[in-house]
Amino acid sequence: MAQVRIPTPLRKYTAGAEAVEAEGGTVAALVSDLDRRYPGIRERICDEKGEVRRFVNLFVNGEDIRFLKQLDTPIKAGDEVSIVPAIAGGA
Amino acid sequence: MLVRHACEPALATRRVLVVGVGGLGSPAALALAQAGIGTLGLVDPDPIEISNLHRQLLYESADVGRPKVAVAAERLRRLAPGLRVETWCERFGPGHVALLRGFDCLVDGTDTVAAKFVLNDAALAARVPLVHAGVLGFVAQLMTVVPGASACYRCVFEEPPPPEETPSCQEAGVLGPVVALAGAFQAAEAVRLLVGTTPAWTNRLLRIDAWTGSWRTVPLAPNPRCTACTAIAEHESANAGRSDVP
Repeated sequence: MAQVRIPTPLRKYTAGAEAVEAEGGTVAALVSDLDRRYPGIRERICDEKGEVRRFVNLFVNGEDIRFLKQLDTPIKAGDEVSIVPAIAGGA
Repeated sequence: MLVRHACEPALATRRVLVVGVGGLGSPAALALAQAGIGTLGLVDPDPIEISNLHRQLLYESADVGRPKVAVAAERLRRLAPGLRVETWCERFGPGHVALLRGFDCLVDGTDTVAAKFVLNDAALAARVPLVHAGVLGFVAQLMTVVPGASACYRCVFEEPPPPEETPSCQEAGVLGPVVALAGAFQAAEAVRLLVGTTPAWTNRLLRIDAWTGSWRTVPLAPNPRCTACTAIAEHESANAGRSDVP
């Protein structure tokens, strides 16, 4: 199992949980597992083509998957995956 | 004064532009004024609303309806009589690049992702460092953009999300102390930039979650596919080429 850090805007899918567990050999598989456990969350992370949405970043153990193997980035037990979206507020 | 040491005289000649004088911009401007900054520029098109008051520290109920930049300028001048304040009661846009060139550092106090992209791109074009922050609910994110030397906002988030996916503070709520904290951090980072110390949040994104009490950073890197950084590099390359022509 990997631990997935859930950002505030997506916590409505995880009953408010800030960190949840999911499994999969790659980031893509992990996102699919996440969606099985928390239906609807995938479409907030990936677009209709299955690519990570351009205002969301995924980090595996602090490394941006865009500079690794993107959705094919391998995941192993104990990894930490962070979902980091752009957030708007400030005024 | 906030900064009572050797860097204070260095700040007296420096100019900081605060874009958006709301939840982030208010505490950032206050801290910079108290730190001894020479000139603060304030850009904001909006009047003060009653719903702003729980988080926008420069204003009080008697100010409702007045332009934020006018009230902020009054308060800041009273707080720091030697401070020069310049105001623009208008919405920041791509046409403000020339304005940015007159400042040493920019503080992002805007409240939409679209505005944050506009400010990022303008900061790159003007080659002026930008201290970014975004806040929602109990969460704040900060990063610093040093054009040509660090990841920019567009390197990290490649395009703005649809508006319905990123509610503003006004729409989704925000805890007052979280914006105050983030704004104060922005001011501290601006001071670091102005006195020539290594900034804390270049190539790093700080996420503060006041609900869980966690502070985390993720490392960032310039994105070779970043359209904003590429455009600026190409523009400068073209200009360099022209200057070589006798």
